[in-house]
Amino acid sequence: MVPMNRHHFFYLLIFTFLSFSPQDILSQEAGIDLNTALQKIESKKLWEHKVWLRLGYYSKKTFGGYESLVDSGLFFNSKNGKFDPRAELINNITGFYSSTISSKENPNSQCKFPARLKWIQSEVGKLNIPNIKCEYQTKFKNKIKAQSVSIVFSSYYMNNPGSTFGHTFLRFNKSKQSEVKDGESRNELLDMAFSYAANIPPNAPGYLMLGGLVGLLPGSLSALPYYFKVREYNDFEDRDLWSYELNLSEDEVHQLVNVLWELSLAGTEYYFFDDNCAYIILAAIETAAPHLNITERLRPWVIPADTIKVVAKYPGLVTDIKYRPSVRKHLFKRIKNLSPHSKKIFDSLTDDKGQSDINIFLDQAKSTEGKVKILDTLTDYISFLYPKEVQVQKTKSYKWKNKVLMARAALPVSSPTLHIKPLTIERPDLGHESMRFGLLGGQHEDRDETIIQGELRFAIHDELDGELGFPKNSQVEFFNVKARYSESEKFKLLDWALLRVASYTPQDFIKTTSSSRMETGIRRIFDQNCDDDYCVGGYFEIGKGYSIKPFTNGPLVTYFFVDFEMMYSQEFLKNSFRVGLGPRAGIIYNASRDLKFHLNGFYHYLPWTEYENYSEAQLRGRWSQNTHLAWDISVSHRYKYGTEGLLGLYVYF
Amino acid sequence: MKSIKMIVVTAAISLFGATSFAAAYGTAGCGLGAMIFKDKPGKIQILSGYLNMLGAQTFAITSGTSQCGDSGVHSASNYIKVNHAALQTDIARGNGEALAGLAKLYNCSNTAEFSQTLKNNFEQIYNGSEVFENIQGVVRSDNNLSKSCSI
Repeated sequence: MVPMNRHHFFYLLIFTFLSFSPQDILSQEAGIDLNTALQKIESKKLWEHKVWLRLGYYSKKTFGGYESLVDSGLFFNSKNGKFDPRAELINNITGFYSSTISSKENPNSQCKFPARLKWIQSEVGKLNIPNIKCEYQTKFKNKIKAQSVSIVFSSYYMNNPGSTFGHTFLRFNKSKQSEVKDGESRNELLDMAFSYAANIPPNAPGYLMLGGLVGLLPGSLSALPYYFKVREYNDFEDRDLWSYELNLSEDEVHQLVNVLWELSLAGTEYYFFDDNCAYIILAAIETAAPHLNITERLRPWVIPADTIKVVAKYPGLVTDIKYRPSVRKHLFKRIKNLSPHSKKIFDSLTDDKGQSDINIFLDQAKSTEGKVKILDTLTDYISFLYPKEVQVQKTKSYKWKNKVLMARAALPVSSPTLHIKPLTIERPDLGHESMRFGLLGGQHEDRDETIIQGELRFAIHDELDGELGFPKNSQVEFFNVKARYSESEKFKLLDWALLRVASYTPQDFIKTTSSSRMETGIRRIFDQNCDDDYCVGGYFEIGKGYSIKPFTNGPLVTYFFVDFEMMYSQEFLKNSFRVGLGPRAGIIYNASRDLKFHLNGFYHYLPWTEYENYSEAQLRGRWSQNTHLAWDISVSHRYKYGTEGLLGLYVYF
Repeated sequence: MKSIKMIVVTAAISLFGATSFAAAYGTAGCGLGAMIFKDKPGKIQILSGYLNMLGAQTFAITSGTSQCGDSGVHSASNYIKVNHAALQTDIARGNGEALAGLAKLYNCSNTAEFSQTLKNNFEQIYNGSEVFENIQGVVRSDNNLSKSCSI
C-alpha cells in the first residue's frame, strides 16, 4: 500500500548520516574496554533486563522467545535483532566501540542509539568508547529543550471516522507549569509535540480506520512545534485539547527524548487498537522512566481515552491538568460576555456580513470597552465559521475579518486575555470505562415468553451512557455484540456491530452542523422477507440529517434523518441482497448528566422484496448510578414481530 | 479538513525535512515554499503534500529538526505563516498567545511593547504584501524594538 516508505527512508538515513565524519571523533576517555563490557553483560544477563526489553519493544512470545514490536531493520544493529534481544545487545555494545564511520550503511551507533547507550553505561559503568560528536542528535535535543513532558488528548472528533476515538500525543514543555508564576500561563506554542500516527493517503479518511484495524498502514513518529497542533485541532477541527503534565525527573525527560529519537528511525505497523499512537507513547514513557509500569495496566487493545485514564489514575504521575478550549468555546464565552445592547450591535454586524462600514454600527456602542468586546466577538465569529477561508487572502471571509481587525486595531486599547474555566464535565479521564457488559431480562408480549440478553461492548460510549468525560448526544461503539436466550428461539446471536457511530449535534444557530449515523456489522433481523421469519447477514447503514433543540438550553434534542441500508443474507426469500431507504426520527431527553431517555423510530422502504415495508420504534431510558454501573430499561416494537420490554444493568470496566 | 491537515503536514515537511527530501525529490529549501494556495477557498492544495504524504512524517525527526528552522529567521517565517489567522487577530487586539509566542521567538525583552507597536502598525503589516517581511520591517525600523528584540 505504501511502497515508498522504507525504500526512501533508507536513502534519507544515508543522507542524514553522511555528514558524520571521522574528524568528529575527538578524543578517548577512560572507561571499561569492550571485552570487560561484554563479560559484564554476560554475567548480569543484561539482555533479560526489563529496561533492555523495553528499549527494544520486546515482548515474550506465546511459545517462548521474544519479538519486537518494531519491524524496521534500521531499529536493530543485529540482523536477527527483532527476535534476539541478546544478539542485539551485544551488537549494540560492539557498535558503540566502533570509531570508524566506514560506510553509508553503517552510521555510528552512538548517534543512532543514545537511549540504549545511556542505559548500558548506567548498568555496566562508563564505556571506553570513542568520543563521537553527534551533531544532529545534539541539535535535536537543543531544539526540544525539554524541562517537562505532557500527554495531550485531543477530544473526540465526529467528522472523521479515524478520529472519533480522540488522539493522544506528547508535548515537551520548555518550562514546567510549577515554575510559572501564579496567574500567568506559559506559552506552549513553541514547545515540541511528538505524535505517532498511521501514514494515511490524503484522500481516504475512512481508510485510517479500516486499514489501521488490520495493520495495513505503517505508523511513524512526527515532531512538530505545538502551534501546528493548536491550529489544526483547536482552530480547524474545533476540538478541545487536554494536557496532562507528567511527574518525570529531568533525567527521565531527556532519556525520553533519546527514546523517541531511536523510535523515529523505525516505523511500526499501526493497528488501531493495539500498537497505536496511544500505546507507543506510553511504552516510550516507561522505557525512559523504568520505575513506571504503565503499559501493563492497559488492555491488549488501547484507545486514546484509555491511556489518559490509566495515566491520570497512576499514583503520583500527573502533576498538572490543563485545558485548551476550541475556537467554538472562545466564541461562546465572548458572546456570553456581551451586554444585551452590545449583543444587538453584534447581531446586526453578523447580518451585514461586512458589506457596510463597520463604524456605522459601532458608533451605537456606549463605550470603547463595548466596541472592543463587539469586535473581538465578531472576529472569533468569523474565525469559527470560516476557519479555512480566513487563511486565504482573496476570500470574502478574509476580507471581512480584515475589515473588522482594521477597525479593532484603530481602537487604542489592548484586549484583556480571555479566561475560560476548564469544563470538568468534559475531562476525558473522568469518564466511564470503555468496555461494557450488559445483562438484561424481559418479556416478549405477543409470544408471552421470557428473554435473557447478554451484551458486550469493547468501546466506548453511546448517547445514553453517563456523559461525564464524553461528548454529549453522540455514540461511538466498536465491537458491540448481543446474544439472547428465549424458549422458542433458544440461544441466538442478535447483533454484532463492528462499528456504530452517531452524532446528534444540535444546531447552535451560528453554524449549521449536520448530524449523521453509520453502522456496520452482522445482525439477525426479524422480517417477513426471511425464511422462518428471521435472517442473519452482514449490513451497512448510513444516515444524514439535522438535530435541533426545541427549547434553547433545554434538555431535549430532536433529530430527523434520511436513512439508507444495505444487507446481505442467504436467508432472504427473494434476492440475497437488499437495499432500503426511509426516514428516521427521534427525541433524546437529557434529564441529567446521568439520566437519559431516547425515543426513536424508523421506516425503511425495501424495493424488490416481497414485503416492502419495515418499521421499528423504541423507547429507552438509562440511569448511570456511577461510572461503573448503569440501569437500563427499554420497550421496542418491531413491525409484524411484536413488542418486547427489557430491564437490566450495564457494568463498565 | 483534509486540505487543512495537509497544510499542517506540508508545513511540517518544509519546516523539518525539506533539505532531506532533496535527496529523494530534488527540491531544496526550508519554509513553506512548497505550499501552494489555490484560489478556491476551502480547496487549499499543497503540491508536495500529495507527493510526500506517504511516509513523509517518518523523517520529520531524523532528518528534519537538524536541517532547517534552527535560526530565528526561518522559525519566525514558518511561525508567521502557520499562525497566520491567529496572529492577525492578536496583532489587532494588541494581545494574545500567538503574538506572545512571536515575541518569544524574537527574544523580545518587552512583550507588551512589541505587541503595542505591531498593533499600531496593523494596517502596514496587513497591506496585502508579505506579512513576514512587513513584521520584520516594523521591528527593525522601530527604535526600541530593534534593540529589545533580536531579529
